Amino acid sequence: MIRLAFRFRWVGAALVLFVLTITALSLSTLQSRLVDIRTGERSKSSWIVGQLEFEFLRFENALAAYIAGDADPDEVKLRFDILWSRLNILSAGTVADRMAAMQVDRAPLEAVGELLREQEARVMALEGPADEEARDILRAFSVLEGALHTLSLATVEASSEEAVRTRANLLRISNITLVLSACAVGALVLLAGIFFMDARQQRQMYNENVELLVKSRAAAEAKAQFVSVVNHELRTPLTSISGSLSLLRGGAVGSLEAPARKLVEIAYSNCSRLAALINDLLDLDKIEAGRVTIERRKCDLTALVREAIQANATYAVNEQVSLIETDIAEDVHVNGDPGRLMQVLNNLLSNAAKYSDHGGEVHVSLRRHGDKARIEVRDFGLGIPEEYQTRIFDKFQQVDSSDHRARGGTGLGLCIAKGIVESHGGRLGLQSEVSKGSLFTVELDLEDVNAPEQIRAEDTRAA
Amino acid sequence: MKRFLAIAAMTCSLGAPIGAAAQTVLSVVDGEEVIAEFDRDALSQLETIEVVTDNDYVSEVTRFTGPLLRDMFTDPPLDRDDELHLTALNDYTVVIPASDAIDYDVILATHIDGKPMSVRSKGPIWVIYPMSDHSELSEASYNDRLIWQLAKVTRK
Repeated sequence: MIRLAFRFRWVGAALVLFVLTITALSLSTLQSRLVDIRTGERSKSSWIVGQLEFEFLRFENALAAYIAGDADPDEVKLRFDILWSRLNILSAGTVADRMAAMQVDRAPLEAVGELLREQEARVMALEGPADEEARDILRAFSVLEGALHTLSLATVEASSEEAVRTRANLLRISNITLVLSACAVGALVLLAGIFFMDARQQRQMYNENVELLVKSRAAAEAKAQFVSVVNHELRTPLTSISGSLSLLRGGAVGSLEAPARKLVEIAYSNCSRLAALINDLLDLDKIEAGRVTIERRKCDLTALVREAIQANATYAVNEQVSLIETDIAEDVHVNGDPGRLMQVLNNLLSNAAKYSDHGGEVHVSLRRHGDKARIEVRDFGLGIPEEYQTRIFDKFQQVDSSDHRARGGTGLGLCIAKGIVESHGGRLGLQSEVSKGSLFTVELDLEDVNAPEQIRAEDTRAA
Repeated sequence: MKRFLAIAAMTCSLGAPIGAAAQTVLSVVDGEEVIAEFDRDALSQLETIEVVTDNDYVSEVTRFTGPLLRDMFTDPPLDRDDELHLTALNDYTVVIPASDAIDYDVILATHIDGKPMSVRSKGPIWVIYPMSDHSELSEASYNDRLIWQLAKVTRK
């Protein structure tokens, strides 16, 4: 449920946004309607019709005052003009449009217009003291009073209906806004809840991660401790065992009977294997922890390769394999740790010898290849099936475990070799075909190439 | 001139019949004191400007001509805080802030499309705001300030 809520939190956010937008839009509509309402009362038809009625009565009043001798005819004419202007206002501009939209019976308006046109000449002709003419005009006007009042009432009625409609609209909009706001608030609360839970989960995950980190640090420490135990508590006694056996073999305590000698030989050889395994394990640990120390100095690779071939010659002879220098370039120098590089070469050469058929050959070459030095160790033995070619550089990997006992080795050598070569910024490559043999290639930057450090780093990554 | 106007005003207030040319069409009042009275001729002597605009009471954009409202008060000139009471022939009155007259070219239009306005066509003076030039003036409340048949301007 909570996970589902997390997934939909953006949908929720979008929903809130949507609701808020709709609300904002409704409010802006509301505003325009309010502006409509604010459209001055004085430009409303009801006001203007009211004013017409007012001026109509005021004209009659002036006329009556004139008849009574209290006003002069100019006053009557001014009121007549004003009355006419009121009528004109109702027939031009938006006032006329509004009037038409109201659907009020406009017959009285037309009647007033008719009356004004009819009486104009008589009104304008008024001069001097009032006579029967003025009374006649007053009678003509008083006929329309009722109709004009009816129009005035009808217009007020229509205006108020319009106002009621507007108010109903306002009410509807405000209701919608209320509902939308409630929805928005609801959605916001929901969203806040989701984000709160999300935050809580994140915090929980963070705490778990911290715990894991602490645990993994503890594990790393335990491992380091184990390695140091292996180093001291395992290797130290092993060295003394191997030393004692070596003395026994060498006859330092008198010559041994043949069966005893055989047993000592077995013990010594297994002791050596065990020592090698421990050394490999410690090396591997260092490489993996990045603690392997590579002493970079100018180092003569040509000499190193030759030395490695010599050092492995005996082992090769034991395996009935010949190590052959095919093409050793002179004066190839690299920047590296001779001891570590020797370890790599020993591993590759002994592997090649180990996996060659009796009577086979191992070809060793050293060439310059662009700005690299390339060492190739080729055997013509079993070869490595394609599916093993990447795994072979992993820990404890040998191609065929049935082969393992026959040929010995810990399965750590290649892994260590690869680590050492890469620590040098070099690359250890492999090409192989089953039954045809394998070709291991070591590529290292030449010493005389002033390659910048980062190019080496890139090479390391590519490897 | 002033004396003539004063006499004209007096005769008018007495209700005696007077000639059309001499009839006061606009009184300008500062507080309680009448500071100027204009007949049609005097009004036409003033410097006028033209405002082309429409409003709710005309069917299309129309050219109005007349003096600026703010020019009616020169000593002292209008202050933003002043109120102007505009009174029509039928005694209808609206109150506008003097800032309207200061901020906009509000005119006392005497001519519409070059023709003098009669009482029947909202004359002789119609207060016109330049609505077409300032969109904020199309706000409905300004409609009410377009007083026609203006007879008196009072500063308070």
